[in-house]
Amino acid sequence: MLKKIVIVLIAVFGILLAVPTIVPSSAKHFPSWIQPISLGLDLKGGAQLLLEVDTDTMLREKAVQLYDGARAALINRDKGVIRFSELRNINGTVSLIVRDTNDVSKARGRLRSELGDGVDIDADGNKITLSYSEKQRAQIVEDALSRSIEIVRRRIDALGTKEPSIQSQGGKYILVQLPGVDNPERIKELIGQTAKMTFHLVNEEVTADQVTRGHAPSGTEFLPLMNMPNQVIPVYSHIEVSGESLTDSKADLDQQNNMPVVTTVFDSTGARKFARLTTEHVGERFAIVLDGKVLSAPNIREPIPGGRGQISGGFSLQEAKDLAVLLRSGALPAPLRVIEERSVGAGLGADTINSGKMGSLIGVIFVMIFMLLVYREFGFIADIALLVNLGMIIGVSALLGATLTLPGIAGIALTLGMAVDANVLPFERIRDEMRAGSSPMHAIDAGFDRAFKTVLDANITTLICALVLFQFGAGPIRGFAVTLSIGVITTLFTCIVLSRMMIEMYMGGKNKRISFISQKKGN
Amino acid sequence: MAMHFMKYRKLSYWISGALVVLSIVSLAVKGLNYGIDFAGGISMEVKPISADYTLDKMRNDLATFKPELQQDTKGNVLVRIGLEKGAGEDQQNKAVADIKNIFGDRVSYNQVQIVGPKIGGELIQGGILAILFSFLLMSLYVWIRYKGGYAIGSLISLILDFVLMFGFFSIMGLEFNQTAIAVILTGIGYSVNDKVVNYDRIEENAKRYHKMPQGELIDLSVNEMMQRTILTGITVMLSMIALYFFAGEVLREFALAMIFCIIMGTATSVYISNVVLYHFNLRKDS
Repeated sequence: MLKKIVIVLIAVFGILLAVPTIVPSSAKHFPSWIQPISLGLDLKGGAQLLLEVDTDTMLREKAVQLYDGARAALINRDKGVIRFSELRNINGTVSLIVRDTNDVSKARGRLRSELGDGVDIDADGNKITLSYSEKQRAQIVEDALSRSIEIVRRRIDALGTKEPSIQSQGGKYILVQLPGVDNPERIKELIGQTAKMTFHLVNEEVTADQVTRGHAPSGTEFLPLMNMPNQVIPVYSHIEVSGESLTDSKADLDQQNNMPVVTTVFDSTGARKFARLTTEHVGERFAIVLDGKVLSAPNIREPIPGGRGQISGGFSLQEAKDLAVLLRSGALPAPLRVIEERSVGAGLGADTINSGKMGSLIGVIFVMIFMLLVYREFGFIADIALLVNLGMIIGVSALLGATLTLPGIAGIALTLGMAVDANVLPFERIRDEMRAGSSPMHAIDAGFDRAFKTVLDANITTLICALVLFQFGAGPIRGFAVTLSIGVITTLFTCIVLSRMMIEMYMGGKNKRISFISQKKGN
Repeated sequence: MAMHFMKYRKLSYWISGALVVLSIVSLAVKGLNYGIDFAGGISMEVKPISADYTLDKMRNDLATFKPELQQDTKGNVLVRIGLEKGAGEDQQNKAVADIKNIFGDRVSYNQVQIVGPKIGGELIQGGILAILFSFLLMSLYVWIRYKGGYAIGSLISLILDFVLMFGFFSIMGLEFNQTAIAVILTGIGYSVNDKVVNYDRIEENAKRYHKMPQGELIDLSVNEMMQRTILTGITVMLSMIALYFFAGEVLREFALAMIFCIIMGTATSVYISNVVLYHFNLRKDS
């Protein structure tokens, strides 16, 4: 008796979990952990972007630190200078040649102690090569990934997108899901910019001739103007102040000419540096550089001590707003590339879910009618088990926080079609047992007992497939795999445990006639 | 009305062999119709806001992108642009932004998919790995569970299943994408499941009827399970037929491929995996 109560309770509980999904208006009467199943973007509409962190570029840029570090370590006023030549940074590997062969081991020691453990140091004769160790590189990439996620989140939040989901995928990608967004172009634009802002002095000694020939003197770069890419500004490579020192930025209108501008506020270090820059170089020009392009190169008319600045660059108001968002969110450690995009309009999503539901329900009804025709009263019991199974798949999925996708709906239909096998097997076995001369009660016992092993074997193969799919698949396919796995468990419960209990109750301990089995021997 | 499968086992082998050849020829000549998931590219489904914006005008507007345009009965237009050799993600994203500019507000977007060359390659790799891995796991499972001839019987039909399913995708020109991998894996799962059920009965009967000749034993067991094999096949088919007709465009190919998998899985259970057992001594282990 206790066993029966437990079985019924489990079934009722499973179905109860599905109620908020089936009747959405009832969700408010349920506690927070019993909620409707969450829908995938293919069903509710929205955009999904897969971003790749350009770690190659980042590691190359990171090697600049290695280059500077190596230089500082060897030209050390306290410990003495080790003479070297041909210091180069090629694709993230820094190399140099020590002038005096006797100095090589000393140079190695110095580099090791100054640069730390994260750097591989190899010496081949006079030549020393430096690169980040495998472990250090992995660490750099990991840090970049988590920092990128943080910054992407800030940028997307600034646009007021509802319930975005931003997570890392496969150790090198960032998956951004934006429910309800069906045109992610603007978000792509915002994510696509590194937004690394730096302030440089303009090299006024460069001649027009040097510019036309493209020969930049050492320590100077020719950077294009943002809104006039054909024109370049010669700026010193040295960074006077970096955008990392900005604490706030807003879009505003210039009080004099009413043009959109971005106002910025520096933190105390930045403010000090900026004040010194503007005090020491009154009358000269400085360049505001964003991602390698010059936004503007204003004249320093007077010292700016308060740490407040104003960036003009011939923006539209929208561009000024976007730039303010980018500056507020911080610079990405490495460029991000959108390598996959999938967006589904809300209308299509709604159509998809409706037709998916319709197809699956009709499928279930077909199966139920078929079972009823073949197995009569046992078929009716199997049909009840099938409906409980449907409820439990939905309910358990919702409880586990699984996401329902279109392939997932197909998975439910497929699971239910296959689930009845777990009733067909024992029913056929019962038929066999009775043909062999058993009484109905004995045949039912033996039928379910013997069929159990087979049902279990058969479901394990489905489970193996589902697990492999889950491991391999992405997005909607994972949804399918999850549904399939949950279906295996609920099938074992409903078709074996629940059906058997219902059949035993129906028989009431007596040898009633089972109508789908002809009592004569043979066919 | 017991059927004598053993008598026709040569015929089974010939038919299977012919189908395998057909599949391999089709795979070699026609290949698979890789969907955007694997091949990469751009796929946009748009709905013109006004009927004036016809397919021809659209084709004209997008001519520079060399798109493939297709209009369905509801007026939605599917724009597909293959991945050009050597093109990267940036070009693709730019192409989509340009197309959206050209369309302006003359269309609404049902669906946009952009898959870069890199991710497509990784998905193919993942798909192949998944299939091989499931292959391994299934064989391992049957080996541990049944040993000897059974494992070889199921392995042979497993290989047959794989070849024929890929062949089916190729011959029918169905889109080969992530969902196809899911169908193939699930189909394999169903097929192995079907074989296991039959093997259970053969194993049981081998213990029960010590003296029965092996061919007769297999025939008897398969016949005993016939009703179940057919009934279960029918119920799964019923749910997939309903999906095919009522669940909308997207699931139609899923349902069709699944129906094929069920027919094939059932057929190889009856005609191949059991029949192969004839060549092994099933009573040796027990």
